[in-house]
Amino acid sequence: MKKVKTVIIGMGRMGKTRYEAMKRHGGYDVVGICDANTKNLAGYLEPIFTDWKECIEKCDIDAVIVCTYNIVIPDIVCYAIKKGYAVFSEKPPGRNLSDALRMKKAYLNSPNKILKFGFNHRYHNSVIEAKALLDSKILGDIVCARGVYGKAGTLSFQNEWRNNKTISGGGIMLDQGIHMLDLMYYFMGRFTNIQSSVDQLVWKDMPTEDSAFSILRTQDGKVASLHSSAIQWKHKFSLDLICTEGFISLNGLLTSTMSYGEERLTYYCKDLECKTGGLGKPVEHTLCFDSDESWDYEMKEFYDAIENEKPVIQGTIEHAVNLMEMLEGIYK
Amino acid sequence: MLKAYDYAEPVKNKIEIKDSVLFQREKQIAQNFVISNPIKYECHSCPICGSEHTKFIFERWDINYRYCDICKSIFVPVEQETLKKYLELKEIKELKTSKEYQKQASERRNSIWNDLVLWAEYRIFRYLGRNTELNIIDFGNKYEGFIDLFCKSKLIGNYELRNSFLDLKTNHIEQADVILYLNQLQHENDPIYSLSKIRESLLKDGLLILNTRLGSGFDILTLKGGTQDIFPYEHIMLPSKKGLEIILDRAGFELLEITTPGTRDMDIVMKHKERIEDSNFFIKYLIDIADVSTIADFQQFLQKSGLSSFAQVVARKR
Repeated sequence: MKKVKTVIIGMGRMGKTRYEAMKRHGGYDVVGICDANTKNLAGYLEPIFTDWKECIEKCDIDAVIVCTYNIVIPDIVCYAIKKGYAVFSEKPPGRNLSDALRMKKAYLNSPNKILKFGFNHRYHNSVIEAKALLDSKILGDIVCARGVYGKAGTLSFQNEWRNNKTISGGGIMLDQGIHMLDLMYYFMGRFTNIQSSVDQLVWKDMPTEDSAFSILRTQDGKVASLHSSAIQWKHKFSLDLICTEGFISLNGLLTSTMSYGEERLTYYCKDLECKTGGLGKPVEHTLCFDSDESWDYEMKEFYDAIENEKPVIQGTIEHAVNLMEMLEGIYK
Repeated sequence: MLKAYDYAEPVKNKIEIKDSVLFQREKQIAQNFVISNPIKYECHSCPICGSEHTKFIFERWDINYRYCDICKSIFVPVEQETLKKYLELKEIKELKTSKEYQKQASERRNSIWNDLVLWAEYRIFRYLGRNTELNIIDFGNKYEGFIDLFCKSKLIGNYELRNSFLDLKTNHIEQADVILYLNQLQHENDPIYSLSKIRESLLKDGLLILNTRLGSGFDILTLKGGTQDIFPYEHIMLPSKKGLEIILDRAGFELLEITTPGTRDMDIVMKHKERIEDSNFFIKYLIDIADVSTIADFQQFLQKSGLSSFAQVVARKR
């Protein structure tokens, strides 16, 4: 397998996660790692850097993985892509729409058209199954959705970098709710009409929101409600997809901490004649998953784009810009 | 690996999937055949993993079922010619092709078949990326009602029925997108060979959809000889989940999923509760004290944990 020479900028939790996924893949040769905090670089045998520009300049590379704070994502992405490197960046694609558009401009002018953003939820098994179920059309067409993505919060929640608006650009909606918005966009299409209530309901002193309710509509009339919450006081992931001939529910999500519960997909067919069960009790089918390969699938797609000339399917720049545009609608 | 379960509100007076009179007749024919065609040789090695570490688990009509200590499958070592003779038995064919047998099967299994077709449409799309106009070969199917339902589904472009005693004219398919192999493994004495032959009729990356009773299932292991619906030579191969994985691998398939969505383990055990061994205190206690919802929950646990005795498999030709 041909090796893709890669550097990782940002070796916090996500940088380490990507590092492990690249090692498992076997097609990446990590030739440098970079983090402004040297503690994050301890224990690695690869050349280490504290300045991202120096890391990109001094290493002989094919690709750059960006796992930094949101504020520096556009600078690194634009710099690397201008240099002709393939770039993979963590979500969100910057702090706002303007950041995303800046990266799009750099992408369009770049000699190497490989830019992918990490939206790993699309690669979770329950999501892959839900997409197949929807596309198979056995439940008809999706018409509406309800999603809740909630966090427990932490003792120092309001002091985390994610809630420093200058660095992050937004609160729970941008940090975590973006995944739910992305899934709804994936299943239903682009939302063009957005109503929302973005609030600080409990963490009053925080510069960012702790709750965002949104009602979203697509051009063709599909409707979704989304609640992104940092005041759920436990971890929760729940997404209902209502179709013309049935229903799908995604509950729980496999993560390293297992704190979102078992990842399950339940579906049933509309059964107005009560053929499968009693009135209001159609037979439900549930699929459960005991492994999360989302990081591996994502790194494989990026590798295949570089070495096998396959197109980036998920997390394209177009997709990133559309999401940030919808997020801007929610924040308005 | 994918785990799956179905859930329906528990109902009283569930309809049996087999008509008791017809089933008794079928068993009687099988018993008569077994008595007049006893097994001629004793072979104790496991036809799946090849292990010699096998032991007697139960007998039916003087035929010994053996349990493999290594892959946990249950089997009866029957000569191929005896098996062939049984499978081509005129009385069995007449019974199973009779109007009454087919009618009973259609009435009792209609909702199961509807679910199976829906499931196939979903899983085929999941792994092939399409679920319309496919070339499908169906091996050994014996239910006209199912075939009728299946052929009306959007899955079908061309359909061929092979190795069945049903006299249906279908199109010949050289190599299929999908092969159905439903309830056939139970009467194979060399499942690896059979599946590798079937594999030849599948296109590259084509899918095998298989279902079977599992020897590692709850009702079979709890009741052992008390399982009234397991009898020779209709059931001579009851692979465990692990055994099924070995069969598929050695026959040249990549296993995509095994789920055990069986719904009848607890019903079968409760129906034959007097046959549960006295030493099985827990199960006896459970059967005595459990209410309807506990039983339903337990069945759901069996389904989810791969412990039901009915398995559905999707595998891809390597």
